[in-house]
Amino acid sequence: MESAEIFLWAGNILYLTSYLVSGIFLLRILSIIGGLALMGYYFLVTNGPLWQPVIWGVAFFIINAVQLYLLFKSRKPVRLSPQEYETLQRIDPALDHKLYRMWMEIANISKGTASENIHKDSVAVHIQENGVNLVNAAGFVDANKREPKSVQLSQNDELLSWNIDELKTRLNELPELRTFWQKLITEQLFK
Amino acid sequence: MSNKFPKPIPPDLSSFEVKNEKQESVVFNTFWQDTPALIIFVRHFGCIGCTAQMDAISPRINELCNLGVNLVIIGNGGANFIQGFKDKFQLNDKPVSIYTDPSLKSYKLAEMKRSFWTVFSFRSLADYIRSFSKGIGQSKVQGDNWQQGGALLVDQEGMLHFHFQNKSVAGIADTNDLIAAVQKLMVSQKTE
Repeated sequence: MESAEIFLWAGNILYLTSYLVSGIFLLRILSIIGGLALMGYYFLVTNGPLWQPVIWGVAFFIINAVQLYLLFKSRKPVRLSPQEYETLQRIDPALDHKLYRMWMEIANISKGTASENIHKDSVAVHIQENGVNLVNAAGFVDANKREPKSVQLSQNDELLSWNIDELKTRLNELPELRTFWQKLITEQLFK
Repeated sequence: MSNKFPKPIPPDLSSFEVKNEKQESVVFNTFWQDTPALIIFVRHFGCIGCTAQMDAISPRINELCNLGVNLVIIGNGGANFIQGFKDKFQLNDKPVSIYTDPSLKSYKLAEMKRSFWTVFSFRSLADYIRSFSKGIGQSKVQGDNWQQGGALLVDQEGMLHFHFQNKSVAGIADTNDLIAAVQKLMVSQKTE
């Protein structure tokens, strides 16, 4: 067997294996290695190098490598701080941590004993000992119902507030978070 | 229908009759007699579009009930297919009513699309691929294959607050958009 043929066999066996796995991560890894092996064949083959398949191989390698990196980044677990975790437990322990982080990163957070004014273009979640209350939820749902509110915080209370338009933009990017938010509104306004 | 809401439901649609699984006629305007009605038109009872629609709306049925809305599903297959549809999507004990209109007249009055191209477009091809990737397959045709569905939200006065036409086989209204429209209507009624 010509030495280049070893690369041909190796590349195709790796591609075949990639078609048999169910996970996309492993599929891409096998595709990358298989592609590199095939590029080895096209480079070393008699009367080669065959530059066209090598160039295409480089293109496929780059695409797969970028996709693999993006996949890796998207799967990176979110590690909540103890304070974030405690707040999440008080709101809804079942909420996905990544969605929670994306929800909270545009929130203003207030704690302690104080009186807080909620602007008419803001909506807030008032976390108390006995549960969670939405403030200006009707204003979130219907712009004609927006009005300023005042909230008195007790010790151990937390107030999370968002600009309504910013929150709507974020929710439109994250359908699952939007569903969670809608369910919260239904529970607060209509039960 | 124009895009300005609220606007009155066409009188012919309001007085139109559909059939339940026992072949009994029910007039459309009874759906919104006491509470607003969210009326979802599906295609025939066996299609991937119907499955996609029911898979999307089923987890939110109790939420719609808590919002105080009457959820109605209208298909176009025979009335004998309704019970199978209910069984398939576990709807027997859920607060949702299912009717059928094999004549397709209510679909036309509600301005839902019907054409060969809505079934064989690239968009519909993408719908099929997306559905298959989620494990949703095509069942036997149980109604008119060319009719597409959509959604209406109607208040107790017969005023339309939301209208959506499906433009392809599984091009259904976003469930979050449906819930948002319902919440907006109910908030406006709650404080009046």
